[in-house]
Amino acid sequence: MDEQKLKDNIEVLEIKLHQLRNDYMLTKNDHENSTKKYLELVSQLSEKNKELEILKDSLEILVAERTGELLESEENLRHKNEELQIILDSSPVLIFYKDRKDKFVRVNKSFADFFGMLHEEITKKKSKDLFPESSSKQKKDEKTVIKTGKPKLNVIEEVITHNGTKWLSIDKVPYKDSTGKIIGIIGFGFDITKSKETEEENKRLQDQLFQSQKLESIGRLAGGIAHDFNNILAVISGYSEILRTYTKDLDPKMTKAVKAISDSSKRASKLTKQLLSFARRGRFNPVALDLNRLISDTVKVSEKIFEKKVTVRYDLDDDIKSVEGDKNQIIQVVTNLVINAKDAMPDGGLIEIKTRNVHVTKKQLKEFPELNPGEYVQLSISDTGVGIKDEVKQRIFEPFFTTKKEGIGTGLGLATTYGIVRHHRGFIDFQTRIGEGTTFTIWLPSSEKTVEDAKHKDEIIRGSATILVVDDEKSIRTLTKELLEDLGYTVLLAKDGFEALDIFCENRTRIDLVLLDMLMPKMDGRETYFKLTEIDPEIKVLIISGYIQDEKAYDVLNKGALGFIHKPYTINEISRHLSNALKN
Amino acid sequence: MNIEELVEKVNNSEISSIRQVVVRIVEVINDPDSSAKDLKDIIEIDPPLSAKLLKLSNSAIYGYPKRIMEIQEAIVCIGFEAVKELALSQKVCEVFMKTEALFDYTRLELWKHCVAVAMFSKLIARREFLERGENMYVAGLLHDIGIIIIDQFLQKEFISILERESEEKRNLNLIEKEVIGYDHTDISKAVFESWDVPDQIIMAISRHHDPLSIDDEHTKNAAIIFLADYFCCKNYIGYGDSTYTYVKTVYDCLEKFGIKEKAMEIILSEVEEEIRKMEQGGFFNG
Repeated sequence: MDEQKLKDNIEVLEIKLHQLRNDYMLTKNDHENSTKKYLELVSQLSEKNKELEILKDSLEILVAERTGELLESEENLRHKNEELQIILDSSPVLIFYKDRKDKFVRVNKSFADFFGMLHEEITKKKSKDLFPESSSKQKKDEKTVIKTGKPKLNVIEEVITHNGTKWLSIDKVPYKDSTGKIIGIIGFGFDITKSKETEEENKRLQDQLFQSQKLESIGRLAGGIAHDFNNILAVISGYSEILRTYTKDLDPKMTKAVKAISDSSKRASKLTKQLLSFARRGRFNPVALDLNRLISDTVKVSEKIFEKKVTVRYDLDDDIKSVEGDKNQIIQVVTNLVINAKDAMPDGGLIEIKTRNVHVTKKQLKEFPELNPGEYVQLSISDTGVGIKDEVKQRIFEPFFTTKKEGIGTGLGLATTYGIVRHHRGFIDFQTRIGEGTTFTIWLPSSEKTVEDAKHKDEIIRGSATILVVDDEKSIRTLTKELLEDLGYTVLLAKDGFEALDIFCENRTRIDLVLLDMLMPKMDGRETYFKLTEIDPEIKVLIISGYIQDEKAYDVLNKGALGFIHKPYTINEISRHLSNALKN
Repeated sequence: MNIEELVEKVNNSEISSIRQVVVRIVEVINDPDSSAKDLKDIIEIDPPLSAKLLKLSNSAIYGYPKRIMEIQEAIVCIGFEAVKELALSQKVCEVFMKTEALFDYTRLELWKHCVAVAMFSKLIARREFLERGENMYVAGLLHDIGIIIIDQFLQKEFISILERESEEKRNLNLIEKEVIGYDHTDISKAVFESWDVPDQIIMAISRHHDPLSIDDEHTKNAAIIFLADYFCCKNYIGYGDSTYTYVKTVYDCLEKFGIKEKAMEIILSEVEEEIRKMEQGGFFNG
């Protein structure tokens, strides 16, 4: 029984063991699972920590990068700013930027240099403080640009810089920010001083060209009239000369009348000569001249009539070259200029006369395209007088234009001077300043010829040669024939070139000299001359004319004609020419 | 009333209020990836349940020296398993609360029976089958819920069923079938199927009076509930509905699964001890 009980107890214990083992295993399993889960959790946590660490690191890197980027972008900004300034400074255009309050924010180098200031002196300063002389229009313009947002282009402004007055063409553009709000004004200035000056220079040249063209046409008109007048005067004076040779046969009343006619015609002739000089058609008898001697002779005479208040100072170049010209005409030029200088100084003053050898460049001759650059003699006559007003300057060389009182000036002085100088292939210019004085300067081409002593002989030289007179005008032919016959010459007459050739051929052995008019219908003097030289290359010819067309007269003279006689001529003039020519 | 109508009535009644908590705890039980936090969230959604749970956690049954203030703390201090069971039993308790004595039946006594069967079933699963036994705990807790449903919705029939039981000395389920055409296991099965309770649990419940009629994967679980039910009824732990079960089926079951009768006695004494502690701790005071 005990054994049974023991057995039962053992069984119960075995069952309990079995049950506890199972419970233990389940619990252990649960525990293991929990532990596993816990460990997983911990490792997950540490992984999360690692991730966190990595995130933190990358965040730090990111922060560092961002900081670097920020620094870099600051650097970039600075660099861009520098770059912008370099670009702006490289521009020759004057660039500025002002804010709405007229304060300079930025300018470029060209701008600063132009005004001779430093950047720092300009920026942050108001324009009205920097440029107090700027015009109210300028300020108004800028206000309008800021107000309307419309640019103003090509605004021409005169500005005063340390280099003097300058001209700017400025484009003023509104400065807008990215939202389109106008925050100031940007300006682009172009220095147009040079082109402005060129423009003014061109205008001056244009004016001068116009002036010389005007003078040219007036001259042509005056010359035409004077030529006809001259022919008429030649007849009047010629016949009065003839009459005078016979005065012994006339009663005293008639003698007086003839003298009056002769004197008047001489005066008229002088006037037409002046006109013709201006028209460059005057008598032209070029010889080599010493300007210095000519000035001394002329001015010393005039000096005597000057009042004591006027002093003349000479500054003459001893080595002055000779000029080729008509002595009387050049004397006229000097006289005219000296008298004008004196007249400009009613209260007295100083006249300075200066001669120089100069080289004239092509540039100086811009206005005178027909003149050649080269060696010239320069003559300037300065006064310390009243100066010439602007409105007068333009008309100064016009004939019959005078500022002198009626009866004192003819208005032909400077016109004649101009004509003569131009006639001598020279040019004239003047500088004047109101209240300070005027300087007239003339340039005449210098010559290599040596100056001969002029022989002034008023005697009439008689002759006995046979002269062929060729002139289309009957009265002149007749007059000339009578004058020459009076001098002892035998005279043949031809009314034109063709007749002249016929007569010359028939009387070749008899004719010693041909007196040839230049201006003739059908065949002119030049052509006739050439035909005559074909027949006899040794032929002696003197040219005679009321005026000279430069080219033709020069041409014929160059080709061998012996001289040139200007109508109207006096007896002694023609007698001298004839005797000179026949002597050769 | 046919069974479908009855299920509809149940689902429109207060009984269905336990559905969400029960089903979700069952999900926690069967999901190896679920965590204590899931359980805590399920419980905290239900403030009266949370309050009851905290009160019981601080009772002498668990003997934890410090006051537990939060569900999370309870899970740590008295254990994940314990909180799961406590939550389930207290939630299911809500449908047993009405105290009305009919013969020797009261709902509270039935509930005590269910808690005992739940503990018993879990221990069988663990001790005899080396399983964690949590699903068996749920099945045990819910195995007689059909009786409550009959009590509530078919009261007239229920009274006659109880009268006949005391007269005829037969198991309640047999009389139910004769009176209303289906028994409480049929009702439980129909209700739990509509609640999406796992099959494993439903089959264990629906076949707990007749575990060996079909031999399949559910036979073992049905046998566990059957044995637990039998030993609890036989030893009068709470109200027993299966006092008149044929002993032959019991022995067939024990034999089939190689369980010694003495092993049941050892478990029984543990359960009785546990129930006594719970009675002392005011566990069944509602």
